[in-house]
Amino acid sequence: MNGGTDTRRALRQDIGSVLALVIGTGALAMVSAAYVHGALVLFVLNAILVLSYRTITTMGGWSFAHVAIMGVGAYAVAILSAPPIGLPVLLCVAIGGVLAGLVAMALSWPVLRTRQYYFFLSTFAAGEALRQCFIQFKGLTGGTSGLAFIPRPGFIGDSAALPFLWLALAVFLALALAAVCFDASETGMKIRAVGEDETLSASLGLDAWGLRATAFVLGSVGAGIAGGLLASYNGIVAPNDFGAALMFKIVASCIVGGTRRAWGPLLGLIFLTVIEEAFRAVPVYVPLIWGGLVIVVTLYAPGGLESLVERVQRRFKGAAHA
Amino acid sequence: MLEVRGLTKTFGSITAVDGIDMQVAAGAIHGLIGPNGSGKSTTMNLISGTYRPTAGQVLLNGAAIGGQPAFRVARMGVVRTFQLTRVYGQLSLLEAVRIGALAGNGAPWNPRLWRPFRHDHPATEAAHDALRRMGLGPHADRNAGSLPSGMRRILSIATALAASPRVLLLDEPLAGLNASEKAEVADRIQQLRQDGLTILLVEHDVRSIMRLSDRITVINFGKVIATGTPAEIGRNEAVITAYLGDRRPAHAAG
Repeated sequence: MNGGTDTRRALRQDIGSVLALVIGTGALAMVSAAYVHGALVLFVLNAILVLSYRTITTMGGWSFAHVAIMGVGAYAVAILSAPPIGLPVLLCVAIGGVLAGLVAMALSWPVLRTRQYYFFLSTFAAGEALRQCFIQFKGLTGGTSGLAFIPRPGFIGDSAALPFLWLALAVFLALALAAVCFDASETGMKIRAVGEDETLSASLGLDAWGLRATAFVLGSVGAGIAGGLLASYNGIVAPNDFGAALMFKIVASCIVGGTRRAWGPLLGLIFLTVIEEAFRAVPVYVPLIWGGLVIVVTLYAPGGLESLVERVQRRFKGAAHA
Repeated sequence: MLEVRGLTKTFGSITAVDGIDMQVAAGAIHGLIGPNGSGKSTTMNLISGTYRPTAGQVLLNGAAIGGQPAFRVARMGVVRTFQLTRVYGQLSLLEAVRIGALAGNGAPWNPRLWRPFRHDHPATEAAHDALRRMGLGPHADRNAGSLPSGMRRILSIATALAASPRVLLLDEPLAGLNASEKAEVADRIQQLRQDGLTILLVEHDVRSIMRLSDRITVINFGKVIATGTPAEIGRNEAVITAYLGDRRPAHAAG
């Protein structure tokens, strides 16, 4: 066996799970009633968010600014697609991704100086600062009430959710494949090495700062694109869309699912989303159940659901060898 | 090969390293010893770029490396290990050592962001080679986190080796190991020297360093108190005083 086979098998698993998620979501959409489609659109956008967030966590830091950076993409679409600029929506989404990356690049200068808890705190502060910008620059962002009448791409139509779901799935597929290939790439490996031990990595010649910044910026581009799509789907953006509740959902997905592998956070998100939908009648209990789940997982399976799955796989494989 | 000139580091009002001069010859094992708190580790951190020197120079083949960040020092060919062993514990031995090989090959900004399927790569061969040289070849697929402390220490040296150093800095590679592990690690270090690698060895264990080193520099209170071959150092009055204080055994005093 050599180092290539392991990474390649991991990459195949990751690609397989991304395809399974796309096909599963698509199949569910085909058989389900129209009111489910809206929930599926949000699920797919959240999937883009958790996967891009996981790219950031591979460098060893858990950001709390992801959703605010997502807001940059959303506001970019809201502003650039409206008159007097009026650019095509999909172009705006792409620009939103780039702008989110640029904001992350600017933020990385101060926040990447911090590690662990301090990184969490400094990104929390940076995210709040961004959100305050959405509120305060009223002329541009519409203040607390936000911006409305954001169009959907022309070929999709404004009424049904299903066509938008196909678009979201296509974007998810492209971004997710890019993310898992990046994860398996040389740079992805170096980023995970820095995440595991920054001092050791630097002593071997890895530019830890550059690699951490790369992960932070690339993850943020994904968030910006998800934000742009969300703005276009909802037709409206407001500062409260990018607050702590959604951020908690992303972090919880990564904790519940695990972040060692790309499919972990997706599994976590599916878990959380199923719980959310099951308690649709009593939505006030949902955060309570999520919180309880996070505590149970951190206590009994600190590596998340993926560590449980891998444990079962190993046992199965061990039995097969015996 | 590696030369240190007037190296000085002050922390506030404390001078931890005070004008150290040292020359490490190519292909030699150079020992750096001294009592606790004498400035060995600080010297190591100054050479490897962990600390920035207050004054003085570190030269590698005449090129200044002092004051550069650690990753640049490593890329210029001076790679270190750590006293508290550091390895990539979540990876297999091969993958862990491969990180060293990838790191050593990298340009300052590596444009190869996107090479997902290229894993039959020179780095993998370099990693296999480093594992073989350190006698870890048969364990390539084991998990690095599960190794006993002696093998863990050897793995950390293999990882540094894969980064293709011109000078290897070993920070107390024998500390905390049992006798058989010590002998094993010492053998591996000797083997590396026979392969032509230049090694700067910081060690607490005087007996081992006397046996391993070609030349030894002794420091105390941040200053060089003696330099020479192990035999010369063993006879040196200042060194004996530094290690034993003035409470020398009666026969030595008489």
